[in-house]
Amino acid sequence: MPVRGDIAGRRSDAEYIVSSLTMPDAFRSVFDRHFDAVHRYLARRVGRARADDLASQTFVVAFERRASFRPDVADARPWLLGIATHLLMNDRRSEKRSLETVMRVATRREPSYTDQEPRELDAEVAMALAGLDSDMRDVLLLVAWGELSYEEIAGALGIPVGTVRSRLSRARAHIRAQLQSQEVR
Amino acid sequence: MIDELERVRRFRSEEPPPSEAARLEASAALARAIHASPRPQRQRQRQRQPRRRRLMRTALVVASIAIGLLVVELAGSGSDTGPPTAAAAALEQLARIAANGPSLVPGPGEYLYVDSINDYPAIAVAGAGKPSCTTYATDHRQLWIGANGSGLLRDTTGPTRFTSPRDRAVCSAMKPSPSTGSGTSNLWFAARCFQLGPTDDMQALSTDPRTLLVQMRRLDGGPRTPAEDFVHIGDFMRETDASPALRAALYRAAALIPGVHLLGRVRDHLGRTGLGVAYDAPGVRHELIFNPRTSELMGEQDSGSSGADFAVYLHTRVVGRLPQSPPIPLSPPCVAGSGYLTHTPKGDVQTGRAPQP
Repeated sequence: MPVRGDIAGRRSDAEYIVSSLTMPDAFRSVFDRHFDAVHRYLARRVGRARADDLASQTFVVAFERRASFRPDVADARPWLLGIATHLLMNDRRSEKRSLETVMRVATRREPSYTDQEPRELDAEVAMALAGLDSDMRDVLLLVAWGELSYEEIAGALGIPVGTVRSRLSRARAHIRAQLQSQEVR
Repeated sequence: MIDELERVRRFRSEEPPPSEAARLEASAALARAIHASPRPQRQRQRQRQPRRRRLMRTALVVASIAIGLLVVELAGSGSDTGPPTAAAAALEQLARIAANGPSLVPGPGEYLYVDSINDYPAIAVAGAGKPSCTTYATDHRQLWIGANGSGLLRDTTGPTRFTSPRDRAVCSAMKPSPSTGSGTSNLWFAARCFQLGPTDDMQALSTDPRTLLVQMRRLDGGPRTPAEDFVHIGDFMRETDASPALRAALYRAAALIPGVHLLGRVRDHLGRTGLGVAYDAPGVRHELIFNPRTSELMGEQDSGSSGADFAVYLHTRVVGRLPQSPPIPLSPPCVAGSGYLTHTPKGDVQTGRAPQP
């Protein structure tokens, strides 16, 4: 398994996390580097208000579990997104509601809204995502929004790479079929 | 024409950064956690292992109580809608061969060796709102897993390939380039430093196919659907030291999954002929290919997906030693997956503690 090198000679996340076992304040560097990315991923999934709380929880949980971080993985972002995804388990309903809201707003076709086309396209994707099983949605969105590789997702969610591959395949097929059926209508 | 992944990627891509108030509040919450943490941390880390064991035992007790209930659920769903007779018969034949086949459980001083070729896509994005590109690279993966869980993972990655001229152009414009350099990497690991499959104790699994299906659902997670049950079969077969009895149970468990069907003779990505068994999910077929003589998993592939995901297994056998001695001793074991990585000219070594100078 390739070990990611550090960027421009900076200390890697792994080094900060290992240091934080004896000097907890070192973990603040991990927060500074990754808070925005984790918040953005969560906000796209459940909205900004809920993301504020969940992103905060993600870093507290990560700090408490830092002894389990694999030090051969220099970049902590996949691990943090994995924790964020696990925290989302209690928010499955609000995520679905949020997607359904996009669908409803687009269907209303408000006359004041001038740029109708992007909104309709959003609604199609929202509808397709809402119909996905949550485990498949996790994998798909960690690829599409988290920009993680198969190996990183496997490590982040604690599932084998083969499962990642299979869930992503099925998720993509589902989305493709849904989008095509909406085009036909 | 953009594909479905690109459509998803663009959805809500305009999300702005968090507010300063949210950042400050989160920073304060982390500061409180840091302040409340006991010091020194080393002592706390050493105490984790027994607690983890206790938790695992508790989980097993809870699981065994729940299994009784779920077995009834599976028993009710499998009889009328199980795989067609041809698939069930073929899987039973493979089960019998597996039950009488050689053990792949390494003894003391031995290693399970699995040699495979994998081809998975990697998606790279230059930044928020910028185009993505998809690359493929063939990975020759060699894995040695010892009886105590220590071993070696050797990856030889081939040159990056692109799915289209557009992908090549997008990837080439990215700085730094997402193209992975080809070459070989070694990662030696001490016991408990590297988790490969859904469980690190295959021998604790039931050899009763119905109970096994329930256990796999619990250990591997995912939606409780026949499609996911079929994924679990592959997860527990590849790169695992399942005993002959457990391998037989895995084939028999596959025969209980509604929708599993026999493809007959199929070719894997190396052109080798094997016996194919598949599950068709909407828009994608997931195939497992077995050697009909030895029952070994030869390959797996998805058809219908936009890429060409596949893995082929070249060798799976027990060997007497590692191909190359580790540059430093593979000890002590990791605790709760936490360890130290040491870079050496021969490769990386993960152990439970930093090596003594």
